[in-house]
Amino acid sequence: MTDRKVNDIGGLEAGPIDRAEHAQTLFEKRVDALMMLMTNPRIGAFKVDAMRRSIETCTPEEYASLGYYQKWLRALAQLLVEQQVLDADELAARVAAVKARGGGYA
Amino acid sequence: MAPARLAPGAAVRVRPGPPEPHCRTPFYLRGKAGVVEAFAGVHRDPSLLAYCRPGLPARALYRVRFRQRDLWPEYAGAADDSLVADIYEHWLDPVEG
Repeated sequence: MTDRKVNDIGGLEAGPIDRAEHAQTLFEKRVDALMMLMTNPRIGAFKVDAMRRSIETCTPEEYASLGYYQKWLRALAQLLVEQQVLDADELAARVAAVKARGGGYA
Repeated sequence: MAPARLAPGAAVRVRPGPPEPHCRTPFYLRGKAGVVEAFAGVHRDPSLLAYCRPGLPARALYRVRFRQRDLWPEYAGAADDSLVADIYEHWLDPVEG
């Protein structure tokens, strides 16, 4: 069967699992907070089911290279545009502006 | 709440797919035979919630037990080792007899 999705890796060879803990970065905390806000029933931009559906649209390369919260952020951007909470051009312009500002991400 | 349609002990088979538009059945369970362990309530349909729909009609959820040996060809553990997965009614087929 060829309909196995990129995330559906149960039973496949995966090699050793890195169980090391790390302190959460500011980026990770912000993505987590944004996800909690958007999925809160009082806002309800989308549900966790939609987030999973979005993450499953990752290419194999994206799925392998993006970190856990980077996948969340990718899903947030995709779903907020899809649900017309954000405008795609506006989001792209804002991302470009932040990149141009530089200075890294503290 | 709708009544349970499958009783504990009922033989079922996980639908082989395709998984579109959105199916949460793990790939390794597709097409596998198991036995209903318990009825786990009626819940909004995740395949519709995934597309930001209301998720209605709600669907019955079952806890289904599989034999590990039925899932993994090279499984070397005990014959009665098992795995339990929560699977919605529309991703299961009853097995006759």
